[in-house]
Amino acid sequence: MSLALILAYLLSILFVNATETVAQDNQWEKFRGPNAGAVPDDPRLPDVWSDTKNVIWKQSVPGLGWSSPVVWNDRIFLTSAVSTDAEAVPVPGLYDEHDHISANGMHRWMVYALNFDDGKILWERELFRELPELRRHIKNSYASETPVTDGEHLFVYFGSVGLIAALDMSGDVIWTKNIGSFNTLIELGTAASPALHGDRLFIVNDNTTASFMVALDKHTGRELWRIDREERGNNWSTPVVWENRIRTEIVTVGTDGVRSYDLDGQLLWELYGMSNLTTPSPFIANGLVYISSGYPGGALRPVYAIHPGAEGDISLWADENASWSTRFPGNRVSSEYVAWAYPLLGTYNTSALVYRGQYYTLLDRGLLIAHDAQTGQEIYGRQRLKVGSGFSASPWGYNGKVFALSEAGDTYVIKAGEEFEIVHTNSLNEMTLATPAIVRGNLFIRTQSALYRIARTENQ
Amino acid sequence: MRRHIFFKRTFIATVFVFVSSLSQIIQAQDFHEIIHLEVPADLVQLEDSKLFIAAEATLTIFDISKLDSPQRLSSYEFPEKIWDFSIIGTHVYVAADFFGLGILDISDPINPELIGSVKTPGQAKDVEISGATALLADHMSGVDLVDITDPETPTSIGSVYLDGYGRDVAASGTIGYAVDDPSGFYVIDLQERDSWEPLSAIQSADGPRIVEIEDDLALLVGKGTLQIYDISNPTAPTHRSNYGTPGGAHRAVLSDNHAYVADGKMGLLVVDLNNPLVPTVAASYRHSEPVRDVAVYGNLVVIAVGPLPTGIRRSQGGGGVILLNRGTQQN
Repeated sequence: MSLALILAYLLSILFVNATETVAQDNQWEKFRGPNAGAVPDDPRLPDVWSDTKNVIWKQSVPGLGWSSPVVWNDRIFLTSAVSTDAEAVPVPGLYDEHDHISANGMHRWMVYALNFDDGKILWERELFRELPELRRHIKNSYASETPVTDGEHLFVYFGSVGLIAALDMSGDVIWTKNIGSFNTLIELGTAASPALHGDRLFIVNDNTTASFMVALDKHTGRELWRIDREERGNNWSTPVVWENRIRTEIVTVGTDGVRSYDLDGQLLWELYGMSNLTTPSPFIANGLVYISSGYPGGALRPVYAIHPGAEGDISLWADENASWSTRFPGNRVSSEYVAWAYPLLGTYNTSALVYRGQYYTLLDRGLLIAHDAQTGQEIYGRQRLKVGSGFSASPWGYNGKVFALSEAGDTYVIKAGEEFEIVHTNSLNEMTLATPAIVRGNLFIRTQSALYRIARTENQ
Repeated sequence: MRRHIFFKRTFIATVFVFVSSLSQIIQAQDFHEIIHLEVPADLVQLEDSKLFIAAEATLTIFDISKLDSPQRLSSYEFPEKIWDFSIIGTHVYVAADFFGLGILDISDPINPELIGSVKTPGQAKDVEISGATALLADHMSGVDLVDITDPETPTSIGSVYLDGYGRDVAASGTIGYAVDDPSGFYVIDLQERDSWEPLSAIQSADGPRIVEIEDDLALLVGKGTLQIYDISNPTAPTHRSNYGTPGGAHRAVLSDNHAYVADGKMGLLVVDLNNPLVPTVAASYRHSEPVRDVAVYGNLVVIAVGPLPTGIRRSQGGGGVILLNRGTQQN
């Protein structure tokens, strides 16, 4: 091969990669987007907002759904469960003993497509209708799973009724499949979102009946493979497909074990030692996969940063019978495949953020902690955002700021970097648990009743 | 030979049981039942001539100036379950689960009035007062601190991070104490309002649900065990001893270096802690129903009796309250 040809080949690779990067940065195709909440700088992105300030538009969304919006080109997709009757109102805060509720009315499981420019509903599609059989935690919804899209189709999963559907961008249903609806621990409801890679759609369904993971052909919904999982239904974590320098793998996080599979469902490595309940989703940054769980009553609340290429059992704290006190004071450890880990750093609901080289932990109780994402060295310890705030949405970062959205709808804007400093707070005055979408200079925040498109306007 | 050993052991065991039973009978005579009130009761407290009874979400006040004929004065129902309460002067501070902190004015005990409240972020499980600060064990939210300078407008001023679930709090002077599930015992400087980080945190307690303070002694109750700590140095509390009670210790209060223990089906147990290394049973009182809670005021002891809670619920409903006099003389 001549030098010119080699150069042309290399340039073509660079061009393709650059194009893909640009294309990806212009979309928000899944839960937490292409980079797990870390967004490239963009002067159009808002720094200050309220329910009126810097609001490009606000669209009411029927029903209740804590799924995040996904955005592709000129469309924003949302799911919701709409009841015919009045339902119990979700209560923000930090609790675990509230009554779990049954539905009062017939529910319709809906998909909405909104126009990017003006927020108008372009189409809506009812995918299922019934009086829900499963109960849920009062803070959960029957539409908590975030859809995923490849730009041609939208893949929607409603765990509460076991329904998976593929729709085209016009809202026509291409296929549906029911994989069964199952209770999770103490009827808390479902939340784990689907993951997409190539032609395959992956669903992890950990439940109290028989936990499993399935891979479906995204074109037809045909089941390609299914594996049983030894999980007890304590998990609401979305799997992540990890394309690393060695291979492509699907990392699934569960209370009874972190397991990574190849694309055919063969186990590659596993790790034991999580907290009693697992909600945060694994994500990729800096060539590592970050894993955590942090139920407050658990003897472990671990965070792991894992190198590619692991094999077999890489557990650090597998002893289920070890007492809580043995974990303290919670020093950092590492091993061949574990770049760093802490036994007591994990969060209950929020997923962490890696932004500008720092790993940010947003504790549900409204405290922010920063570590070096590569080494795990602590940069600063627990810093209080505000007394009395609960946090479920995952943090995000852009323009040198880290953003933490409370359940009360207040976003705390914090300077990224080694010094903790709250710059200001932006309030929407309505409860939210959904993690926002950020795309093309716009921030999309879903509250209990509406979706906001927020961007910096000319004079603000 | 083996048969001889068997009979010898059986004889010793029989004597032990007999002596133990005799001891119980003798100790039972230390308490004299004054009156048994047929009222639902999960929690009891005494203050001067008033008896306060919490059952589920209702707080009821009795006048017990005449011990043999208590008079019900009033009841106040909160929107949520009462997990605990604290009486300071003419105010009752109530930890009412999702409702948060409620402040009742009882200057007219026939007409208690809710004069202030603040919703805490978690679930209010216990409240103690230190000066103008209310400490609340707020479950997943840890310990929340509320300024009660103006009881009509209580204001959240801080929160202390606990590793587990905040279960109970206590206060002595400007020092606060907290326990969490599964294993934490924390000491908090209530004057250090900038950081609200504990002065010390021990993670070796065993499922503590209750913390009581008296002088340099901290009593933790959890997993059926009294756990005794020396807190003379607040930055380094020292574990002294554990004492497993026969009834699984549900709640307890400290009075004159004695732990009065609501010991479930085994009744009321009084444990002498004058030597914290060697807790010793000083007295007990048995009743046909399990003992849920206990309060002490001078010579007067009040117990709440009834079926024991299961799981996370405080109450099985029903029950009653028994006023006991410690000693031989009834008032």
